[in-house]
Amino acid sequence: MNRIPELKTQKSSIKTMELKDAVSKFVNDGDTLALCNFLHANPYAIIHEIIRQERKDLTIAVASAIEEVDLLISGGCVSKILTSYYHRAGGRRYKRELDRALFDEKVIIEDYTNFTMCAMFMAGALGYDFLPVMKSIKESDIFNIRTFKQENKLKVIKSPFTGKETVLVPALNPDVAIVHVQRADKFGNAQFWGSEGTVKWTALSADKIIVSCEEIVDTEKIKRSPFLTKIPCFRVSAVCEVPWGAHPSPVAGYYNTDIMFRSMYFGKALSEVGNEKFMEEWVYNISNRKEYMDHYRERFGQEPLKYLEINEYLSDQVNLGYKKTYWQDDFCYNLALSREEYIELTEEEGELEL
Amino acid sequence: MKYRRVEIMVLETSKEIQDGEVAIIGQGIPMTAGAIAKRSHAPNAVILTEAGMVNVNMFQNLEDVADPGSTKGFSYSIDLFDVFTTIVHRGYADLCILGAAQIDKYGNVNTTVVGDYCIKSRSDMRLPGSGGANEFAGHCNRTIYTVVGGHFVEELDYLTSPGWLEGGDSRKKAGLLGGPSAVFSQYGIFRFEEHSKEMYLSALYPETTLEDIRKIIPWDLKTAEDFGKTVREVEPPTKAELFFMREFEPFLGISGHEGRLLQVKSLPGYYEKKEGKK
Repeated sequence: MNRIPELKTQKSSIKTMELKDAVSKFVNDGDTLALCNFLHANPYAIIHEIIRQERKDLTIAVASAIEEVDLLISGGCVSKILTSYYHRAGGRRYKRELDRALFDEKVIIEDYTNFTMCAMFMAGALGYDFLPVMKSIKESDIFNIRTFKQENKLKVIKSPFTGKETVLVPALNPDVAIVHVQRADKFGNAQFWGSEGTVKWTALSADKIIVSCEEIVDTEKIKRSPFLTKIPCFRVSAVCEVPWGAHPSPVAGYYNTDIMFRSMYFGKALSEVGNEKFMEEWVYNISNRKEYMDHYRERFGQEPLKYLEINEYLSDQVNLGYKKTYWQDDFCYNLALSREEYIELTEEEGELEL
Repeated sequence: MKYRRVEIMVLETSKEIQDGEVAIIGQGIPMTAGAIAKRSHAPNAVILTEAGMVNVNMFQNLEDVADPGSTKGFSYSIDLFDVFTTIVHRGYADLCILGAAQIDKYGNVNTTVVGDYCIKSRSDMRLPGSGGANEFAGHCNRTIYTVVGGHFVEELDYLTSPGWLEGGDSRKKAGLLGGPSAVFSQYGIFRFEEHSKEMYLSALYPETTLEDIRKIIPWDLKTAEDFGKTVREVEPPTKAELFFMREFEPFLGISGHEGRLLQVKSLPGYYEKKEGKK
């Protein structure tokens, strides 16, 4: 298929909205949904909202999944998964949602590797049809065994330059990408730091991007560290301020992994009954993240949250600098002319008269 | 002072990292080994993870490959694509340490599925999958494996990460760099013969015999003695080493480190107890 570049209609404007509205507006049944975060700041708040709004038949594309995809499967949202890693705990005796769904043939997985997943997103983000990838995948069953992507999973060509055998991945352009970041401004300039993983390429490959963030900050603050901006305002569809939006996963600079909460989930998810109970308690009976955290405090008290506190390790400030203006004390520095000399010169060289 | 087999295994694995080397560490036990090396004999090693944290110096073990909170900063922040291309693909990665669920005699590894790929029966088990392992194993100069809870098999159920393929020069012919150099199990250390690329027993841990090893290896295992070398007997860890390691990763000293089973089992109870109080 030839993808013809089209002029995108997405513009820069104020993009802040309630998470509820963002999901109902931008996530549709049957969409390919990309999860941008790589084991760091996973967008749980958005995922819970998608489950509550009962989206169906989603294809999930994610480089490395922990239990967020289990939640989506529990919610009946998923039919296909493109991934390279799916966190497992406990070995043979411990089955979770994915195991049950695979056995019941409710979902299909197509296996890639972290690198090839990222390369597919990158190809999509760059506007190419495909991207060459590292050779080792050709020597594995990831290349040989294919499910729903079939012949379009990976291809091999001869390099037109050197004749060397080259493995290609196709571009992936998800309908919508969801991402949680530390901070953004109201226009959607999203800043992310810590381990960067696949955030940038996954987000930029999608047509629509929903950003949730720990806090909305002034654009002036964004401009003081522009290198932290991973997604620019004009690409973002919605930006939602959701403190604790990634709990129980960690967010660098904000909070640590809630190992105890994750373990509780693993414990519950081992049985279908326990899993349903968890979903009722933490997803369906809750309407937003504020309620979720209120419920957390009510249930466990303030004490477990103490373990999630992190120590301060501040980034060093650098001088980004800006120039002096061209005119200083009636002298133009870039022309080396005084104001009088300049007026004289413009009078001499002007072709039209007022 | 008592210690566990897995502890001596982690200590021995960490010694594979030489000072100054660029080392990639995978999820789990490999991470502990890398962290210990950096904090002890290889302070100038550049330890990195695929999540893009390069040159980390952890003060405790990472929770996963994307855990920035266990290190006070790192010197080079890049994304996953840059790690694989500019570092690994260009040949700047000296070694990677990875886990293996199934490993064959040529160091090919499965971390994707046990049994049928399509999960047709209850005994088929989905494993995490490749993650970054396939490209690391295929393109790093040396690949080190740790096998905890995994198995040595005659034939893999699924080939996730290429080792020496069919042995001999088959890997070279496939155009891949480097190859597996050592496998650390809970009983001994294995290396690969120079020409045939077949795995052989290189060292034994304390209180382990060749017979114990043969029980876990389904093929007729060769030992260093078959190649005119001796099978090294690994010294027990010193108290200082054990203390240091347990400060770093307390899970190692108790059983159930595998898959953090302990958390799964006991911590839900922590919450239930609290509920009961109310």
